Amino acid sequence: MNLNRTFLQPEKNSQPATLLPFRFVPLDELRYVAVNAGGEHIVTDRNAIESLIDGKLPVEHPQADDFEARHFLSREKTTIAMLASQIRTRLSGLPDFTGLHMFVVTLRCDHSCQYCQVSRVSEDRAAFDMTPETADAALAHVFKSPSPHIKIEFQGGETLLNFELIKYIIEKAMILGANRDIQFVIATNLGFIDEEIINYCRDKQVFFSVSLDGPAFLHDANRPRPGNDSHARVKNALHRVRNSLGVERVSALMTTTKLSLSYPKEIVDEYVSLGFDTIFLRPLSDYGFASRSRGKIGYQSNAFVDFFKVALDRVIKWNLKGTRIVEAYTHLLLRRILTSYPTGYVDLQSPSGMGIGALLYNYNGKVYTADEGRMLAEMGDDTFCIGHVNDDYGNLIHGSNLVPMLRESMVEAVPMCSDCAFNLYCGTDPLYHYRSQGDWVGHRPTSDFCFRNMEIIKHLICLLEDDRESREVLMSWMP
Amino acid sequence: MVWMETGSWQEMADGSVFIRLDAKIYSETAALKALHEVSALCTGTVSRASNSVEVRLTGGDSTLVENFLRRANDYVLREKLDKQTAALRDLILAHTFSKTDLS
Repeated sequence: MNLNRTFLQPEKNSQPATLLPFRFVPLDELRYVAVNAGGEHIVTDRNAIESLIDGKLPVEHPQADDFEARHFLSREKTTIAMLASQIRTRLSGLPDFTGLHMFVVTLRCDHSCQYCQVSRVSEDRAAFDMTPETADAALAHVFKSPSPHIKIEFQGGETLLNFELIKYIIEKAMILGANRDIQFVIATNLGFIDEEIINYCRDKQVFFSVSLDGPAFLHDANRPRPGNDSHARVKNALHRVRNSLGVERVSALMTTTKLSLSYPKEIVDEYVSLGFDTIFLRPLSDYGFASRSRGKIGYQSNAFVDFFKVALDRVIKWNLKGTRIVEAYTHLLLRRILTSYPTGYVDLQSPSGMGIGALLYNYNGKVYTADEGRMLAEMGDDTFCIGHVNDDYGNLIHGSNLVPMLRESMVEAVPMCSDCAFNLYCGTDPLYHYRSQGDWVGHRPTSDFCFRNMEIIKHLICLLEDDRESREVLMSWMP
Repeated sequence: MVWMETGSWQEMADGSVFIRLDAKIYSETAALKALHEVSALCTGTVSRASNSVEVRLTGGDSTLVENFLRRANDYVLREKLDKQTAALRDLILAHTFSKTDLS
């Protein structure tokens, strides 16, 4: 191994350059994208990559200086420390350990969404509500995490049907976590919001995450309830909550069903018309009820990618017209492509964010590594249950299959991912691969997860390279 | 047809494709990784002969050989790159974790 291997260099600098590690993949029929050890990328062609590796890149090659500027080559010893610093920054969230703690306060719900995995249209509080004793035990785990930033997210069912427990948990958490930065988020359809809830949430700085699938005809088809008026209720409640809490305290989440695929522009336009500055184009999760309804609401990944591209284009068009709206998944990926800042999105990390990024405390006291883990459990598979709230915290983390699951599914070791140029931008989803392919490592050549992320990342890189207007919009979203 | 470093390929009577790669250029690992990448399109085997790496692919369409060779060529290039930079990659990772309890 010769670390001082010389490279054909411009004569302006006599110091020989060292070839640095990088990875590359085809971008399209003509181009390749290469990504260095710290995550900086360059779009080039295969001949240039081959010449670079062979030490034969001509001095006059138009990208000769770019390869050096983006640290594929170096004459400076400090470059090693700089690349290490970039990787360390990307991983800087890991030592904090679990920051997101989800409490399933009830499974009861007034909606009967086809894609919902867990909710029950039931009045039986005893069967489907979390008890204060379970909440106490879960809170003890929350504050054993060393993270200085704790987010407690209330999940359902329809969470507001058990608002008394939400209040109980918030009050206790504020005492137990007095020295932490705590954020509370209620995931809700807002159907049961009233002035008492609004006033309480205003005073306690609570955020709302609302389900909104698009315009009324689409939202109500995806999210049926008695009266078929889900969209109207959301719209009405949204107005009241924003008036009291402020626009920034309410965000929305959409789920893409087969019906949604035909309306990418209408969905984006609905978010704009309701004044949201963020939209998250989320594919359907293939779990629980969604799995059983797959034929009716499911679709192939290429259909989602096509939908995503059209919707993103619409988002960009709105920005060009002066209305700022950000697509959240694009924003997340761009942060990874263009910066070294860490991103906390637990479904796209390596090691996976399961358990170490998020824990879920189910209504019945079972603890899961992710929201989808409890959804899988509804289908009779408890693989992602790591114990019970009454178990010792150490046993939850070390006494379960969590650590092997994290270790074996890291992209740095998974076949194909380990050689992929995008492995610093992408992540792993052991639960998805377990569900769809039978094991948590998975088989990337047939993985929808891999296909979807590869296509979207390539699309974003092409937009940055080829489309000046899109590039300006996308860059304006960066810190 | 994609450029092939050194080797040959032919369609067999049973519909499979037999590819012989020069072992001085193509490692078994490069062939195996390329086969893994196209495994959504076909099934296949990789074996080592005296001076060659032999690949048999079954299934797929008329673009399969090109698909396979394009990937195999890329893996050959990645092996060249790794050979030159593996120690530096290790050094960067050692630096990365040198200020943590993980080192």
